[in-house]
Amino acid sequence: MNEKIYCKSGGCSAKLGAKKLSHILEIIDSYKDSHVLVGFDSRDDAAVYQIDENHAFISTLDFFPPMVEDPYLYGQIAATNALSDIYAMNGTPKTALNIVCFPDNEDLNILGKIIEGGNSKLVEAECALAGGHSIRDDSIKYGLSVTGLVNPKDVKKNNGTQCGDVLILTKPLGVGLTLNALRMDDCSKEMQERVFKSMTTLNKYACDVLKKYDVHALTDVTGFGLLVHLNEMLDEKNSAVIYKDSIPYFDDCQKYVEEFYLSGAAQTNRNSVEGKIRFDCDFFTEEILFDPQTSGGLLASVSKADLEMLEKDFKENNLELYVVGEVIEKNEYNVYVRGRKI
Amino acid sequence: MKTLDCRGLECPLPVVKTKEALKEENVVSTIVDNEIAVENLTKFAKVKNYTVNSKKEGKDYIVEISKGDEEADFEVEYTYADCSLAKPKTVVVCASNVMGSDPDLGAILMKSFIFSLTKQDVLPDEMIFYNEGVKITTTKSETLEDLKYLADNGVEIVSCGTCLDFFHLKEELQVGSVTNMYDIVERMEKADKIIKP
Repeated sequence: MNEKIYCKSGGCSAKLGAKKLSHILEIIDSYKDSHVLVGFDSRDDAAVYQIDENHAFISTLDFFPPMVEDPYLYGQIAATNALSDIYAMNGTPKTALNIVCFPDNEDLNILGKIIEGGNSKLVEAECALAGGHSIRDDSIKYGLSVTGLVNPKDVKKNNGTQCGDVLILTKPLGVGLTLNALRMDDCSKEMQERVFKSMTTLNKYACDVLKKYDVHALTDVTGFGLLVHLNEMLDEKNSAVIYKDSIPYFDDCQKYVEEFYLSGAAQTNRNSVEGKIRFDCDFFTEEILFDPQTSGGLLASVSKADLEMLEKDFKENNLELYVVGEVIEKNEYNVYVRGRKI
Repeated sequence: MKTLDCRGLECPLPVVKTKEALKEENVVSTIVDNEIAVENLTKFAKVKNYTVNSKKEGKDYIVEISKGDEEADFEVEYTYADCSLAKPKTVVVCASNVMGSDPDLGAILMKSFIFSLTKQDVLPDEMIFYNEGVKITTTKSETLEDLKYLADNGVEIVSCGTCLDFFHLKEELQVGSVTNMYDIVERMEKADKIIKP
C-alpha cells in the first residue's frame, strides 16, 4: 500500500471541460496542411496525417494523475487509455513515448513500476516504447504519446453517424463513480477487480472485430462521459435515442450514485451539453451517462443490417458488446434518453 | 445549524460531508471554493427534495441546505446548476368534460379546475384527455384559453384519437396533439403522480 501517489482527481476526470477547451481552441489559428486529414477542427481523438495514397500516421497523447494506489496498475491503465485513441481512429499503434511528471524526493522504484506497467500494455499492443520526457513536478503524472499507422481509406472519424444506425458500446460505464467510491474507501474488492480489468483491457480487440464492418462513426468514451462524446459524434447533424434500460454499468454504481459519489467532472460534462439532452429517466441514469470514464470502451455507430453478425462476432471473440441506442433524424434535442419503443 | 468548511476539497467530498452532517442536523451550511461544488450540492439537495440556497461571498460560495422544513425563512433560489434533473412527473387525466356527477355543476367545476391549474406555482407535466374529456380540447371556450396558456407554458396536452373519432371531433382539435392508447398507457406508467379531476 502506497497512498503517496494518490491525488484528488486522478484519471480522465482530471480533464478540462469541453466548453472551456473549445473556447480556447476557437481562437488558435493553426498552420493549414492539406495532408492533415483529421486535425484541430474536428475535435477528434487524434491527428491523422496522410503520407501517400495508402498510408497515414496517427498521433495522439494522453496523460493524467494516478487514480489507483498500485503504480504498476496505474501505468497499465494510463497506457491502455493512451493507446485507445489510436484504436478509436481504426489504426495500429507502432511507437510510444513516455510522458512523466515526478517529484524529486519520491521513491524512484514507484516510477519504475509505473513505466513497467505501461510497457506491459505496449508489448501486448505490439507497440515499441521508443523514448520519453520526464520533468520534476509536485505530483505524479504519467501517460504516453502514441504514433500509429492507418490506411487513409480506413480512418474512422468520430462524426459520421447515419440515420438509422445503431449505437454500440464495448465497455460498461461507471469507472468515475467507482474510482470515487474507492477514494471514499467504499468499493468492494470484486468491484475493484471488475473495473480494473475493464480499464486495462485494450480497445484493440474490439477494434479488430469492428474493422470488418461498416462503422460510420467511432470514438472512445473517456473523460467526457457517454453523452458528451455522443453529442460530439452527432455533430448537430443527427439526433440519437439512448435506451435508458440498456445502459451497461458496473454493478455497484447505483449505490455510488445514491451515496452521491459524484465527481466535479460529471457536473462539468452535464453543463457542457446543457439544453441539448432530453431526459426521460431517473437521476441515476443521468449520472451514469455523464460519468467520466478512464480508459473507457469504444462507442460506434454502425448499420442496423450489420448488428446481428456483429453481435455474434463479439460473442465468439469473448468481447463485451452493448447496444445502447440508435441514430435518428435531427430533432429538437440532440439526444433523447428514454425507454426503447418501436 | 452546522457550518462545514469544504474549501480546498474536490467533489465528491463536499457533498459526501454535507450529506453526513445532515444526518445529525436539520440545516447545514457548506462553504466551498468552486462553482462545480455548488452545482453538485444543489443537485444533491434537489434530488433529496431539500431546500437549497446559495450565495457567493468573495471568492467562496456558501450553500445552505435544509431538510424539508417548509417553514424555513430563507428564500429558495436556484442560482446555479440549472441541471435538468428528473423531477417527479405529474400527469392530469381528464376522462370527462365535467367534474363529478351533476352535469351542470360539473361543467362549472371543470372550468374552475383548469383555471386553477393555470394559477399553480408548479404546472403539471402533461394532461391527457379521453372519452368526453376530448370535448374540452375541441370546444372554443374560456377553458380552452386556459389550456392554451398551459400548453404555452410547457404542459404537454394530448387527446385520445379514438375518442375524437367517436365524437366526430377530429377536425375540431384546438390545443395539443392527438395520441393513442399505447402512448396514454405509457404516459400514465411513467407518471409519479396522476391527478384525476
